[in-house]
Amino acid sequence: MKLDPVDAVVVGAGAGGGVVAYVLAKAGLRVVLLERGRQIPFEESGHDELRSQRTTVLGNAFGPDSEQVRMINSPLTGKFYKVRANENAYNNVAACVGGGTASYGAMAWRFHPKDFQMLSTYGLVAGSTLEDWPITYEELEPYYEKAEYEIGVSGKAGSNPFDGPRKKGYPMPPLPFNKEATLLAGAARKKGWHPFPIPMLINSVERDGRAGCIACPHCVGFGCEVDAKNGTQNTVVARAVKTGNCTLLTEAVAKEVLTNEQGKATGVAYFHKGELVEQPARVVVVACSATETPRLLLNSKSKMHPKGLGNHNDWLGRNLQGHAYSGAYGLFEEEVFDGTGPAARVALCDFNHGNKDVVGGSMLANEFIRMPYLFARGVRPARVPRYGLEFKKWVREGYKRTAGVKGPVQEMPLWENRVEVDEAVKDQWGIPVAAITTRRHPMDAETGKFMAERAAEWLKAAGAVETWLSVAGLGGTGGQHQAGTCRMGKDAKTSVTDSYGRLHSVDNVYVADGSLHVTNGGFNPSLTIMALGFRVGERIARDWRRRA
Amino acid sequence: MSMTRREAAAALAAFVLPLEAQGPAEPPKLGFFTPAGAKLVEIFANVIIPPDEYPGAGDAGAAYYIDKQMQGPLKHKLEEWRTGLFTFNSVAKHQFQNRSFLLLKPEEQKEFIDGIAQGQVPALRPIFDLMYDLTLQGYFGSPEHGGNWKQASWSMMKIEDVMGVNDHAGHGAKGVAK
Ligand SMILES: Cc1cc2nc3c(=O)[nH]c(=O)nc-3n(C[C@H](O)[C@H](O)[C@H](O)COP(=O)(O)OP(=O)(O)OC[C@H]3O[C@@H](n4cnc5c(N)ncnc54)[C@H](O)[C@@H]3O)c2cc1C
Ligand code: SF4
Repeated sequence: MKLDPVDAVVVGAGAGGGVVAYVLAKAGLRVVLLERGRQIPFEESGHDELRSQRTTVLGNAFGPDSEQVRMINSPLTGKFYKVRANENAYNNVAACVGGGTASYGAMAWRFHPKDFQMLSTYGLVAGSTLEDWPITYEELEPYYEKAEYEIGVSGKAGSNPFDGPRKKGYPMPPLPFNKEATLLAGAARKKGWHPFPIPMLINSVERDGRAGCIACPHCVGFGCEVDAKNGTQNTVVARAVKTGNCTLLTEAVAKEVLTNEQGKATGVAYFHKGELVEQPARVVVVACSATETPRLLLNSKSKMHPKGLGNHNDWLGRNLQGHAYSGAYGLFEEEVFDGTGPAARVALCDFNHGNKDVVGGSMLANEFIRMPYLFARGVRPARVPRYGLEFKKWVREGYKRTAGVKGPVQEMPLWENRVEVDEAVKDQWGIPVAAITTRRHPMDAETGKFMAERAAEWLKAAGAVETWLSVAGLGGTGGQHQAGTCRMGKDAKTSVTDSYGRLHSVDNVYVADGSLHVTNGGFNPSLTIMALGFRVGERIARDWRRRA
Repeated sequence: MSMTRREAAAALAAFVLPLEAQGPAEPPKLGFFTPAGAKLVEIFANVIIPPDEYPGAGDAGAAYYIDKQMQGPLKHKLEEWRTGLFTFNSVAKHQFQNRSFLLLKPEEQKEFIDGIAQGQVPALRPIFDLMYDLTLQGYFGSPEHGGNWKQASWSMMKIEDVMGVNDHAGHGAKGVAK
């Protein structure tokens, strides 16, 4: 079935795609927003740890369903094997309206100015494709501000001395410190470090007709029962639809971007209720996440684009990054757990850059509330056995007395880390699945170890009687902070898109998600993805007005 | 929005699991496990998390969790589970002069499981890891999935007040001002 043409099709209603759809609809373009998943109301996802976004052993309440598969290159054997969507190695973000933002932890980080200049700051790192972004922090700053105001961030401007310059404060005051944060903040100050309240995409006060946070214990990995957590699903996507210019179509699975004889995009083919539908459009925006975007583009082959759309130079799908999460746990004499969410409340940026002998670093923050199964699986000092009475006693006595401090440690991008498609393995719609290969650069483990030691130092200063490190291994990466597979760049030979997310090789196809990140910063990525979404969207709208 | 943060939190804390989700008064019917199969899992789970002043994982329904999930979200693990348990039983018989695992003395059962954990029987490592993980899921996950009877783990950890807010079945959220 072929539909009437629209101005723009946006594929993926996640962090980036939701923003672009909104900007375009507001500018007056007729937009169709395709999302493979559904709206997931809180009543459906609930507070079930074993089906949450973080622990998907019984499935993922936010999709995709467990029957979806990918081929993953095993770090152990070097061979590809089939992985189901609810298994860790799958590299899932989510499949629902809002994408990852429907259930994320909602930390709202701006990258550090140096995160955009990694090559200039550190020089070449052997084996890595480390590079500067084609844009600076200053160029992205106005769009960070838009993201903070349009989607809603609570925080305290000026509280982090390492922050890049900002023109405006946050639209909402920060959430209050919990017990852990109060303890850690005091200790950090004594050490001469600079703790501050984490900026959050969470309403600290009622805003936009939705409630303020009630500090429930289930935040990261869950939907919010009072809708105080701001994702794209309850802000920009809802507003895009309200303009009357944007049609949100759920359970619509994009198969390929269609092109004509000249190689220009003419629209998108997608499956909806078992039927293959063609939606013609003048502009196509792909925002399916850093693993699904390259998959869709690689699956969009034609005579003019034999290796996939935008893949003129074999860079598409490469440089897949995540974060080399590292940190430490500390056991305290007294209980530090107070049961109030979101729990991750205090951070410091003293170690994002300028660390001796390592490249980059990360912010450090205390952890979100750990659910019981996750705690029992992974949090215990080496002296405690993994089962038996002593283990049970540890869980009982350690749970409320343990605090964790971790950081999303910046990874060195690798050319070999990539998303391909496996023509022989197809999903239920007959679309070839993603085949993913990732390893970490040895530097990531060094930086991780450095950060873990700082985390332990912080916990000890706060009174921990015992600390133990958790350092990222050299195996696979990507995961919930996946990024980098459609690198932006000025040089069409060594990047996939220009600095506005437009494919170098097709002038009416844009990318607007984590794929654009040249490097992934020492921070959670959403706010940067959203800011880029505003910038990409405004560029498309500007060109549109010029043409009209 | 008239509730304060504190009031709303209190309102939420007041929600507890419906009785049927807190754990059955008597063990529910088994689906695919035979009683002997369930017994074996119970013994194993009680080695992983033994009873003390709080119930062990086996006593808190770990076998019922596994039984239920193997007919649902974990269906694809069935084959691995069955062959794993078959090997488990055969190796035990071999090691203990043809006595089956269920008929061993508790010390012997524990000795056998410790041996696997210490890597003495590499062939049994995969089934150990699977049973171990499922035991923790059953014990620490929500009672609605068949294990963690009467919120055994949550009450041991003294977190029923925060974890008991389990609105998965669609209740709970309604009491809070939107
Ligand atoms: C548990 C968890 C906690 C997190 N916490 C934080 C945090 O605290 N702070 C932070 O900054 N980030 C956090 N993140 C990361 C954040 O969610 C992601 O970085 C972000 O959502 C990525 O944005 P994106 O636009 O690249 O992709 P996504 O948000 O994943 O959006 C992509 C969308 O495209 C859809 N899609 C894919 N393929 C198709 C197709 N073929 N057809 C139609 N639709 C398609 C998907 O269903 C999805 O909705 C967290 C993630 C997880 C999983
Ligand atoms: S901690 Fe606050 S924002 Fe997070 S889910 Fe609970 S109420 Fe919502």
